[in-house]
Amino acid sequence: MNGQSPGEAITRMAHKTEYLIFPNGLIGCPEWRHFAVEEPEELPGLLVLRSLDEPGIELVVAPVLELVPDYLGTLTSTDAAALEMLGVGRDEQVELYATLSVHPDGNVTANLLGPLVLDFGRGCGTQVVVADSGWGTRHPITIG
Amino acid sequence: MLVLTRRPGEALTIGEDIRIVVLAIEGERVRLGIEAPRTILVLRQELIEAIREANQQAAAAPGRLLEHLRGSRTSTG
Repeated sequence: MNGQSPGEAITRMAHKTEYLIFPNGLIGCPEWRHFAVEEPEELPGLLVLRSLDEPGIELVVAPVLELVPDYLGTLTSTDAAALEMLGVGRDEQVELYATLSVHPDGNVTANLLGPLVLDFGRGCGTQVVVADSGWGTRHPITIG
Repeated sequence: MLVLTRRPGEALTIGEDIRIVVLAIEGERVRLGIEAPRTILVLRQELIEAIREANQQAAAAPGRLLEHLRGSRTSTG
């Protein structure tokens, strides 16, 4: 991060692109390919990916390394290599985000099994699965 | 559905560049080796279902989620 906090870096990079294309869509949702990138008011660091393919589809995403700073260190070598190949940790314009969900009981969780690799330089994204590292789709997030 | 019978050590190919090898049969489990281009996503079916469910859950109530998060700081639980 070159001495920047993750939040500062994310805010800076988010201004570089207004749209992201997922060439293969999201996993299980291949029709979700084109998204507008928006910054929600009062929530610096978070992004909203608004689908341009299906009205009403919006994903709230948070930087994985702000949720779990040592996330990359927890990955198996296979999963880490797959992320590195996509530029995570190697290209400062490539960042790892997790989708957030709110459940009927009010709990908020992050999908750390299938994070999104967002390449703000190229304007594209990929959803990956860190299948062997023990993370789940409902990692609890506490709101303080 | 095409149904094939293979023994350990035998393989099958899909197209020109995907090869699946039966490595071993251990009780009720079959160990498979898969050679495919890196552009081909190879995942266990249950993982695809889990990720699909998570994606749809994430897209279900973004407005309610933002209301929850607004004005709050997040941390891992």
